[in-house]
Amino acid sequence: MNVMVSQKIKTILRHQGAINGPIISELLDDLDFKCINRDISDVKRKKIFNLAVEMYQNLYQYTRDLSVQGYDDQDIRSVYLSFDFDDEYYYLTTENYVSNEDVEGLIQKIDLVNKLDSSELRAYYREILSNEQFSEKGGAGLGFIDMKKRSGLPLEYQIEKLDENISKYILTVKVEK
Amino acid sequence: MDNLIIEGTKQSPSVNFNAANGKLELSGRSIPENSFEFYNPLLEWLGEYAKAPKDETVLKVYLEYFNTSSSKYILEVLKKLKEVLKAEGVKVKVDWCYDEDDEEMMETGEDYEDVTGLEFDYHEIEE
Repeated sequence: MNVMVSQKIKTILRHQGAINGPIISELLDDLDFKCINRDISDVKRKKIFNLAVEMYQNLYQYTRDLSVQGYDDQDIRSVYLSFDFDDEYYYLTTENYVSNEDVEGLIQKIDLVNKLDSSELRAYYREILSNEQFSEKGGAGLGFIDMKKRSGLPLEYQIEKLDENISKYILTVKVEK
Repeated sequence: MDNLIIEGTKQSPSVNFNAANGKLELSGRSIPENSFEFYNPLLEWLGEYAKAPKDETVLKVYLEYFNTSSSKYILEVLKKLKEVLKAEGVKVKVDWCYDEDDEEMMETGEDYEDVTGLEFDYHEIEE
């Protein structure tokens, strides 16, 4: 993973395996506790917490229904997530499997928010907020917009095609220290 | 009509909607996985309240965290509040509170003000 090249990167929180409501709740408590322990300012801590909520809930929302023929549900619903830092940034990272059918839509959404500057992003946020549509998965369609707004930096992603059915998807959101 | 009082949790905000004096309050964390389940009773209550509102209704919003699925429902709450204005001679205001230096939360208030056209007052709360 690109962002992990730095030798100085340190991990604060890591989770691998299943994800569900109670696990998310525990991870968020742990994250908050570790941010307080590290004397991360309240503003940064809230930013990180909000980003983690969005990322982990999105992860669960997507993976809980994921089913691809020929694969064990439990295996492909397994995720990896971490919270790391180096001298310059905090990194929130999630890794999960995605059905290849969803890859194009995913890339389009991320690339679009990455292209927008902060005022365009805000206008886009207001537009999506006020339309009546909720996405198929029950989400508000605001996830990536919210992440980019809060981070202020481009969302970094990597998609690794594993075979004709599934890919591995890695998303990293950075917060300046 | 009855007041609507819901105690806050780690996932959902505390609610104190007082029909007798028109003071409504939403505060804490709003990060439930199922926002519809949480917010629907609030929307129903406001629908009833809008039929016979107080002369002045003030909604105080003081949220620490909220997820994007809540953000759509908070907008729905504000839209219901706007329906209160259909009654003659009534006033409606939103007191949008945020922690000191929490610009994101302040900007979210501005986004809601822009989208709904309701009157917003902003209060930065010192920690």
